[in-house]
Amino acid sequence: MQHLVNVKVNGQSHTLVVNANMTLLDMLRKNLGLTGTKKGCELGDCGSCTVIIDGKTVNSCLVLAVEASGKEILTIEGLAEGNELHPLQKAFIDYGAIQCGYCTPGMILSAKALLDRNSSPSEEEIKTAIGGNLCRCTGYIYIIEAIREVAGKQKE
Amino acid sequence: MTVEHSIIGKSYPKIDAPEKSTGRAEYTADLVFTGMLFGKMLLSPLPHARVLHIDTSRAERLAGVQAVITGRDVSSVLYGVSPARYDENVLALDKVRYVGDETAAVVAVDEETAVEAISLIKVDYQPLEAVFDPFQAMKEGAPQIHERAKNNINAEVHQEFGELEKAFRESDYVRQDRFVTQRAAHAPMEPHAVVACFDSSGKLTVWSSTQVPHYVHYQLSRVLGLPMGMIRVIKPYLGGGFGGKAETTCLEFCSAILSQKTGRPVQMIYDRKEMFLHGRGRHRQFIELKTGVKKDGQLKGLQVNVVMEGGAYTSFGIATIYYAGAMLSSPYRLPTMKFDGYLVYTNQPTCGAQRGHGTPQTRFAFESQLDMIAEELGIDPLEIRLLNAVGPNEMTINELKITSCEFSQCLKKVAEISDWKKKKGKLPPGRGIGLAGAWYLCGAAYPIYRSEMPHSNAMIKLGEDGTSATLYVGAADIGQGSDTVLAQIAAEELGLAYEDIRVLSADTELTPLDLGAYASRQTFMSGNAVRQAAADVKRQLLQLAAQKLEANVDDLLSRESKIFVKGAPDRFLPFAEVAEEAFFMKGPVVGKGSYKPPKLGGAFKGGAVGTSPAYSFVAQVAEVSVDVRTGQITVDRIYNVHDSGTVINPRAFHGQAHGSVHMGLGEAIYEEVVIENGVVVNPTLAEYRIPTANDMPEIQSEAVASYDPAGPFGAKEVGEGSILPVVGAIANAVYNACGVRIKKLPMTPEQVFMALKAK
Repeated sequence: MQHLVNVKVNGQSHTLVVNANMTLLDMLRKNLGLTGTKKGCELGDCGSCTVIIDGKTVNSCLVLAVEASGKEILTIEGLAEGNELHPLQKAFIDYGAIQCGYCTPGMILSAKALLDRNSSPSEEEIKTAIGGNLCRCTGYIYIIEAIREVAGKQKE
Repeated sequence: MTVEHSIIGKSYPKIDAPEKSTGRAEYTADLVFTGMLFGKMLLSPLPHARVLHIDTSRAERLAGVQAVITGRDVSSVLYGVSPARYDENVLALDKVRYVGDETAAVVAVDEETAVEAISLIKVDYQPLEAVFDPFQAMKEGAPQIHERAKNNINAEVHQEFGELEKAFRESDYVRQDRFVTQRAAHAPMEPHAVVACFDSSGKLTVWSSTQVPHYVHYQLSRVLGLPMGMIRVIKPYLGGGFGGKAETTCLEFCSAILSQKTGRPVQMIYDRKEMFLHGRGRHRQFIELKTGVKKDGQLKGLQVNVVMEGGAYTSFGIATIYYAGAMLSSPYRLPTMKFDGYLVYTNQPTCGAQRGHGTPQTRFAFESQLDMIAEELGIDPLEIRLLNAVGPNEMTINELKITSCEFSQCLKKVAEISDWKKKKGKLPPGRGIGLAGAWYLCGAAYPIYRSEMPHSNAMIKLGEDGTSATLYVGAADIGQGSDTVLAQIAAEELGLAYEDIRVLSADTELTPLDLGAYASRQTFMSGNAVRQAAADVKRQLLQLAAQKLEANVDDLLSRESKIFVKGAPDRFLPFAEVAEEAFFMKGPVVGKGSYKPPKLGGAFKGGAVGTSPAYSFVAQVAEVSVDVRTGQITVDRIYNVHDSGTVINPRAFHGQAHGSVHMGLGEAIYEEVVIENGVVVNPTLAEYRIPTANDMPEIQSEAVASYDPAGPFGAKEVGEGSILPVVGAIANAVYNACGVRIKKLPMTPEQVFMALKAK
């Protein structure tokens, strides 16, 4: 059974025909070629596929493409303004918060959603916000540092 | 040695971080090719069975299925890691040996069709009795898993150095303990992925999430019967390895075979459950240690017995069992040592190499026992370690040659930054502090298969206008940052800016051979090759500049994009100008370098294991809180001090320490691959619990001043050394906090609670 889905992804409107059982993750990756959203477990455990729907983070592997119809979605590809990187992207680069980089898109989007609703989060709030984004490389130390740095600058 | 560097020692951002931050970095699963098909494996549901018949007809008839293969359709050449133990078939031929063993593969137009096709394959199995426990497996009459391994003993090690019994007789205190560790998993965020494509001329290209493009290249050639020149292996961006991607898998073989059959590119990816079944993680070890000391704490002798549960196939296992014993010969001076080790086949997923390879388990055991000895003798754990600490230019009892070594400095510094003396024995009840040390190699001195080849090689070509240099290197950046570190080494040696270096890495056709990312070898070995290649290029430019500056070539320096006369910085030429002129005069300006370790190791059996041209040293302190009502351990702080030689990139260095602490913490208190009757019961990242951001302690990571004479700019390893002391330091801190000595991993709340109750 196929359905028509209208979505706005990174500011662009798309009308897509998808199978009823297609996940948002697969729709982003396969239909729209947005492979910055990563597939790590397909069970909502790892957070590699995190995207922002209407301001809230979701594991896109747990959302059906049809459920996303009528929604606005932000993926990692939509974060930079042209070639100007988002402050979180810059901070992740500068602070050594990226090793293998597989968790990075989801991690940055979780951090963005946090900072959008809370411009001066505590360390605990940062940890909780990225608690669903697993990273096996960094021990999260520099990730937290990078997010804190951006939060600090936002406050100024 | 203090040398002023312009690039080395600075925390440049990772060279690949911008592409990774925007989602533009393409990993193997992100690759899309015209006409690409998707492959999937059929896995055995039984732990041990004879394969009587496989009926693939229904799968073949399913619309969208392009090909189905079984063991009968593919090469029967066995593969594996160590040539002495090639024991894996591409697909099961006669028998399956664990739940997850690959029995067939299909390729279809999309993943959904492939998955459906797999469910239509019917396999007639004759179930065989299975064995899961290594001690049961070794008994007479146990089910035999492989023809050649009587009593399922895959490998045994018996080594004795010095007169151990005499050493025990001369000891004032001898103590014996038994420790049991768990099966752990690498759990990289990126699951294994491969795309294989035969082109119309019969050449095979394989994009693989591998740490070791060369070994994949070699194994594909062996098993498929193609010359290496007809195969190209490329490692795209890679999402974490930790040893799990250090060997060739069924995915590479099957995708290649299926591409050959269909004439189209084929992608195959393990899902998360398949990652756990493929396994290759840390072995469960049953460890008995007997240690003799003098009254003052001086070590006299160590007896080590290890039984290691290997799973269904060997993988790295032979090396692992040797490492388990070999690496106990330091960082504490040991005059005598005896090691008996057994690697045992079972009907469980195969274990392999994981960060620290075979040694975190015995290191945990030894550091725990050393603390028990210190307590019995009334010596501070720091003092007993300082008393026995090895120094530079020593030979261990098993003939491992230590050159640079600042282990004592590591111990002193970690005591200082953790305020050890003020805290030890003075923390309130429920809080504790613990110490542990370790050492690790900077690359193995011998390749996995016998060969005289140089282990690391590099080429550099200058940009034709002289404003950049491209480094061609086989080293595999798996997230640890080898591309970045090697670019820094090239820039420093050439005298260019870091930003002027381009890196093309891990492509067997474009880059020269490198053995890849395992045994902490990239910075040291590839770094040496890169430095040599850069020096080769620089020599050519300096010769030309010497003529133009009317100076002696030996008096010239290249630094910060200028070539100038030593002591007369105004007599200079821009690097780019000289480079461009060199190109105009002679064509491409290229340089090459290669690194081959010296011949090392004793003449005894297994004497090669543990040999390395240099060793890193590390000391670590853990502070923990134990909730005595629940047995829950919280690790509050870790202090890590590493002798890594010259630190090339401090942020990359600390990042490795942080990641090591993460994995070590997981193994200390959370992580275990749980298997019941051969079935992995927690093959998900929700139930195999790697630490989240909320679980991490504060970490203070430091380096000590150190310089290795054989390392590139004096550098040594960092990526694996720092995981080794974590579990021991935490175990010692737990004892200090609540008086219970946990000898079985992981240290779960149940275990701590029961131990407290029994106290």
